Amino acid sequence: MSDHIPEELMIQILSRLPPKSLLRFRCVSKSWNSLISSPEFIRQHTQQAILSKNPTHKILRYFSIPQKKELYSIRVNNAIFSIDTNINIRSPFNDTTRHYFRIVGSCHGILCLSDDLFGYSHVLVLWNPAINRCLRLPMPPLDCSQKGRYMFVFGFGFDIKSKDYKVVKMTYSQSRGAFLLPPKVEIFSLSLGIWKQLDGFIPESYIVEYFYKQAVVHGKIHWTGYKIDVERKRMKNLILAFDLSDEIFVELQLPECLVIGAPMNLNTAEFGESLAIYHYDKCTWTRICSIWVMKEYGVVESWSKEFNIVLDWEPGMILGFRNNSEILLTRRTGQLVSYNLETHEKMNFDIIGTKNSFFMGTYKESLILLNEGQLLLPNDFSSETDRDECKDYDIENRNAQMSELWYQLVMHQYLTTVLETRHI
Amino acid sequence: MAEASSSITEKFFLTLKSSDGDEFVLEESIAIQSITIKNMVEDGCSSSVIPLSKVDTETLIKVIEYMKMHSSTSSNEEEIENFDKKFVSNSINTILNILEAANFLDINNLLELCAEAVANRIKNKTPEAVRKIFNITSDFTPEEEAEIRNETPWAFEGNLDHSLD
Repeated sequence: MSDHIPEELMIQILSRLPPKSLLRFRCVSKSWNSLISSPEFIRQHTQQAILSKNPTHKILRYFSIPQKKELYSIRVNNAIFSIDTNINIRSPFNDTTRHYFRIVGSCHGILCLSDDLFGYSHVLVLWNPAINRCLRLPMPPLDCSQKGRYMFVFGFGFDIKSKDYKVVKMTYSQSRGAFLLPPKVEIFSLSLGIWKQLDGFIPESYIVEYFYKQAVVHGKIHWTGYKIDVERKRMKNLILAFDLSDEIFVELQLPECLVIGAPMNLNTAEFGESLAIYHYDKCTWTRICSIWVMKEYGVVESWSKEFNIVLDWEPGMILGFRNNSEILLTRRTGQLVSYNLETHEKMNFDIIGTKNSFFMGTYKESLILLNEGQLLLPNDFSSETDRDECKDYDIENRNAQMSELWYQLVMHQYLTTVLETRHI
Repeated sequence: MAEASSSITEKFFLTLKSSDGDEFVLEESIAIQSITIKNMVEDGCSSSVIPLSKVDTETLIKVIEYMKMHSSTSSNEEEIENFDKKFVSNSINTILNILEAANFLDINNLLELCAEAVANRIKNKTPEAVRKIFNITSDFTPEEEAEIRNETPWAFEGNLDHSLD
């Protein structure tokens, strides 16, 4: 057989292998084990996966109505959106008392999950399904133990400069029925393993709580936000962006016609490498949604209304773009649909979940968290959740759809009250 | 500028010599896909025979075949694709030799093609098969190896490939 291959060439070969093979090949020899586990190799492997011409995958999550549980799957981005059977996700969170997680974001094969959708929680985890490892983030130094007094917004992304994964946490504390500005901001760095407080400038704006979804483009995390225009006594919608490398906040302006209006009807999104925004005509059971794209990043004049979706069936929410002309959305019935924006053809999938539980993100298998994360045994994680707290909310007796509606209603009422008071 | 000169442009040829002593004459424009050879030409070493002491005859024939296909203006994308597909169906050992040659000759496309091919071939193999292919003796104790296996048992499940090619 072949003589010894130089290590640099071995790296060229190994960096093109899927995580499952690499986990298996760790037992080839000690030097292979240490090579595969080294942070440099893991970085190179991730880089290779990003550059590879292999077809892209999507990760799909929803709370299945028939099965009554949270399901994760890796999908091939083909016409039938089939499950990739090579990547078998063992969902370790089946036993969670909270129905399903908020997926803060998906980046390089890791998901950032927060257990705060159905009640107050400090559980924040990074999870790599391909290698079944999970890192439960330590508690940030900021003391927020009094429940109900705080509102959190999270962001998750990759800092290209320091090659590090970061979680941003914004804490708005409540006083007399309103949340105070500016929020306190803390940043978790995966490479350092610690939280630090941001001392820089933090804009005096809110994120659209509960409904917030992040969009990461141009090295920045974007959320839909709003600001109080004191002089004109009204709300002004905007996009709040956090630069993952420089760790600074920036505000981006929306197209003129979206500045005024209910911020709940807006959602930041990714359109390829561009920043986009979905504008629904109503917050629930919408029929019309326009999609705006910022063609030149940072240039307000470049906002362009690229698509206007008018449907005669009952769509729910847009999950995201599958490619330049095809979107995934949910129907009112909770069914997943693929819709072509050019041909207006739709394809119904045999996937039914609760309205707000759907998440679709790009997915690349990686080895990230191999060293930092804990191996996840089935139901390992759920035992750590604070069951007492859940009893307060009586969630165990309620089904997921009801809880979803309930929490959405609470947030809606809160937001409406806030918005109305400001108008006066 | 092509029109006037093309008819009278002399084609430059290089002679490549394998480690087995066989010589191959190749058009310079084809050979300079190898950055190593390109640098030698630019340094003025092209008049004499270029010795490739790290590349044996069998491998060099394959590399030249690849370079000819990938530089020829007459071959279209489909032809190249088919050629590459057939090219990587060589034995793993041959591909590994070509990979090393591509590294030495600095032909990036070829290196990537071979690395990808080897990865595809070993992806579903057992650790035992991989050890044999790469001539590696395990330095783990049976207990240490069992520990790694038990950590991620699912990575050892499924239809694993025991073959050495």
